[in-house]
Amino acid sequence: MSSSSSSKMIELRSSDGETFHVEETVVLQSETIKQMIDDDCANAAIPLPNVTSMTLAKVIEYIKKHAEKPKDDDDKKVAEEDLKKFDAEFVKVDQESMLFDLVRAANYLNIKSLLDLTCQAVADSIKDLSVEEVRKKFNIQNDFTPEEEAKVRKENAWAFD
Amino acid sequence: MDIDSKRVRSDLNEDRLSGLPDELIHKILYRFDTKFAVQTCVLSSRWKLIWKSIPRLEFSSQQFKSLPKFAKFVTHVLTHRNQQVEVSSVKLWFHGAASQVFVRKIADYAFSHNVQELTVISWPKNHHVYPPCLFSSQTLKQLSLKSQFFGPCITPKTPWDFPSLTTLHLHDTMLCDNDNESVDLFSKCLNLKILALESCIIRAKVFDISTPRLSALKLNDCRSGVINVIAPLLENLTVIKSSINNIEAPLRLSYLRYSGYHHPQWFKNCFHSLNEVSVSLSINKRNKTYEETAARETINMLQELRSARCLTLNMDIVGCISSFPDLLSHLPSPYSNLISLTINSNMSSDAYKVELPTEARNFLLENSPSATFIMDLPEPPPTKAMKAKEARAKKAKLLADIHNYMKELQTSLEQGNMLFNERKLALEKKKTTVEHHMTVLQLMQTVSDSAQFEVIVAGPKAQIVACLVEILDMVSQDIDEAFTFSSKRAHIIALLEALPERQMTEMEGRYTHQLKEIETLCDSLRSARRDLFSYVEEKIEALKEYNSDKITAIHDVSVSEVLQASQPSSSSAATPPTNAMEAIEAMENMNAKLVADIESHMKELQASAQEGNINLVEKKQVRRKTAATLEDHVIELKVLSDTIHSKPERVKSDDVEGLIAQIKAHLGEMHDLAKQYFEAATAIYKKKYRIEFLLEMLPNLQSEEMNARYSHQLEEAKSLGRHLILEYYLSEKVIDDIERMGHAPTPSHLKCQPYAVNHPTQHGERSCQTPRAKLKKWCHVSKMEFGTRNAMAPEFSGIGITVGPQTLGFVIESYFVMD
Repeated sequence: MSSSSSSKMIELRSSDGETFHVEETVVLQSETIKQMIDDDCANAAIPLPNVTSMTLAKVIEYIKKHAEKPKDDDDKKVAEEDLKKFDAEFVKVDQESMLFDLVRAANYLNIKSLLDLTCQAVADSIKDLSVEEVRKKFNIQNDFTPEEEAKVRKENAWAFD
Repeated sequence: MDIDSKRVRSDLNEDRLSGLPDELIHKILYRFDTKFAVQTCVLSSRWKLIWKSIPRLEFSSQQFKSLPKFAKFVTHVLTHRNQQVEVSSVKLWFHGAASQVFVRKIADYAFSHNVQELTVISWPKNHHVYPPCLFSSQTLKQLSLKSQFFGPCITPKTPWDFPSLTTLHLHDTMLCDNDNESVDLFSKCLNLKILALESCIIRAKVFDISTPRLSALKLNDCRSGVINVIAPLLENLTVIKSSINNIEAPLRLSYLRYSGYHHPQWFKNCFHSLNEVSVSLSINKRNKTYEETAARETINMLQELRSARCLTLNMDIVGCISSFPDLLSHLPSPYSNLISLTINSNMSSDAYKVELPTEARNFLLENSPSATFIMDLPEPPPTKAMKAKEARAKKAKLLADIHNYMKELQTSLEQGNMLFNERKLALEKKKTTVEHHMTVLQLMQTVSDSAQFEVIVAGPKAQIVACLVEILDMVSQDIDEAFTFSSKRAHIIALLEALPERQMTEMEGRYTHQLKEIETLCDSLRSARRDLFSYVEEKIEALKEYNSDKITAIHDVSVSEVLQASQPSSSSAATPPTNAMEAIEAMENMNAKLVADIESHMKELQASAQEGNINLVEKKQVRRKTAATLEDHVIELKVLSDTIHSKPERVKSDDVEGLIAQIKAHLGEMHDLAKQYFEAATAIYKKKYRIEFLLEMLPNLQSEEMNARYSHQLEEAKSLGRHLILEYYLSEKVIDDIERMGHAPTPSHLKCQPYAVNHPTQHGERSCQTPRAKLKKWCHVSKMEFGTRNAMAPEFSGIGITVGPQTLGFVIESYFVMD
């Protein structure tokens, strides 16, 4: 049903009401949207109440790039390299909050490669930090009282050796 | 509006990480080892329990001080974890015996929680046996076992019970340790699709690989007696440096790669639908010619591959069958489906000699006229006339290069000498100034007016420090110059070495004077440096001593006077009160300036310490890698040189040359690294001295305070400096070691002396380019280039002023700790 309509456009609407037109072949990378299309719910604009226009624009940039198909084997290697570079640049976002928005959007839209990429990026920013540094970096409010924290540390002292 | 701006504000400080749903936090923590994951429990109450539900466990005994501590950690994790949550992936790295309780515990836990992916990497002490419980799981899909170093771990001999297993990787594992037993490990792995055995030891009478759904099998460097493969669905087979005894009916086999020393006898009547085939054989030759039996075997093998569509053969195979065109002439070509035939030269240097006779060409291609034929041959070497012409051109260019380089060198040498002398004069001047101020200080000691003492003394002390720092600067210029000149000298020698022998001697003769001069300059640069370090050291000691003497002197006069110096009334009788106040004010001003100076220097020190740290981390990797490569190369070279000794005809001149070139390049890299380390270390030490001098100049109380404040940084800088020096040592050590190893082949040269006479036609005496001669030359060059390095080592007792006598102990100790 959808095979013949390679250039069919799908309309996506972000939480703040902006609409985006994306080729169906591109948008199928999202399992969530694929499901909607398969269920024939995609005749009107698909509302994405959990994704802001700013985030959605980034997501579309990502899936568009990943939908490019290399022509032959030689191209394939080049394309793979190119994609790697793109991915590396893609997660270098100015604001940390954007990265978390992308994690959530990738999860909601169910785009596995994007979810892996963004989770890895968050993990990379945690890598080599001590727990205290993680707390500071991500503004995690320590809501333990000193006594409570001491207790937690004591209970799990075996993990701090 | 209000709400919006609030949102923005809260956005900035919002904790987005904790805000994620558990599932996503798990996805992120999935990428960390379990120790870190557990530690997140102290972040906040949100995180207290999160680690308990991560569907992955990664244990590493290396993160713990002792195995009991590690075992305790494992037990705690397994008991405190949320038992309801399955574990999809488990990774375990551990030391010591494979029979340890925690291995069993983790396996039991993983298997009872439906693990799908298990990786076990062990550093066993010696031939330990994996517990049998590790080899039975209903759910496991992927298993990877790997042992590191020394003795590999041994797996059980009864069939492994993994009904769901699809992928199995075994590295450096011992699959059976009894030559009398027959084992069949995988017959119960009914779903196994991918099996890779790499560097495994299989000591069994018969080793069966018999599993119904296997589609890809890789055997790489597996030493064993008899391997039988029964895999009816096999599609992809790779056999490298391993042998198979028998393979049963792989009807579907479409991809085949074989590489080894022997003709595979198991290529029998069993390949029916091959698509891509790559075979590479190392066929033995007798007196540089292939034997007929080898050719027959090769032809048989090629006939077995008749169904191939894309065929890649190495040069040896083609060379071998081409040597016996008569054997081929009456044979039909076995290939009727070929799409492409590729002859891979593997960049072997005499591959150009191979000509594909019509018979061989027909044998391979006759029945597939449309196949593409690719023969990847190196360029043939030039003819004699071309060679001679090229050699002449090369020589001319070399001579011109040497000439130009020498000219340049002459100029820079003159300049270098001049600068050196200028510096020498300047140094002498500085020394005089230092001496002068020292004398002044000595004189002041006798007129110890306590209130003004610090002020008066501060001037000369500052002067001395400034001079000492300038001296150190000059010394480091000397170091630079020495490095530059010695590398220039090495370059010229390398150029000279490239000339034919006769010409080399002549040119060497012509330039002896200059070369000698560089050497002298380098030597004087170095010796000057050594002296100066001890000079500076001595002066610092003197200053320190002076200070402590002085302090006791003041104390003797009157402690209270110093302490009450701020009160004009208590000034000493010898000086009018106003003077005292002025003096105090001046002193305070100066102290303030000093403090500011110290602080700015401290900043600088920190910056260079940071840089040094980064350097250390980055370069350490580079050094280790370079050292490892170097060692490999040298061992290879050693092997080559041994071969020269035993079988001269086997060694190609180019191989030796290439290897030597590589070694030289890497030695060069190492040399650069050493220099960088040295520079980084001196930079840090210099800054540290400066700060310490300045600290010395402050009044006692303040000095102590500042000292306390910065002692940590200074200590750090000191240890960093030590580390850098250690790295320098290690780099130097590698160079020394290589040099020593480079000498190792010498005895065989002597024995090999007749070699060139025996085979004069092969490599020719004229150019003196026999492998042996190259080896010898290389040793010579390496000695010239790097021999001077030994002489430099003692300088470190100089640079190590503050490191003191422990340096060597520290170096030795760290050497063991680090490697």
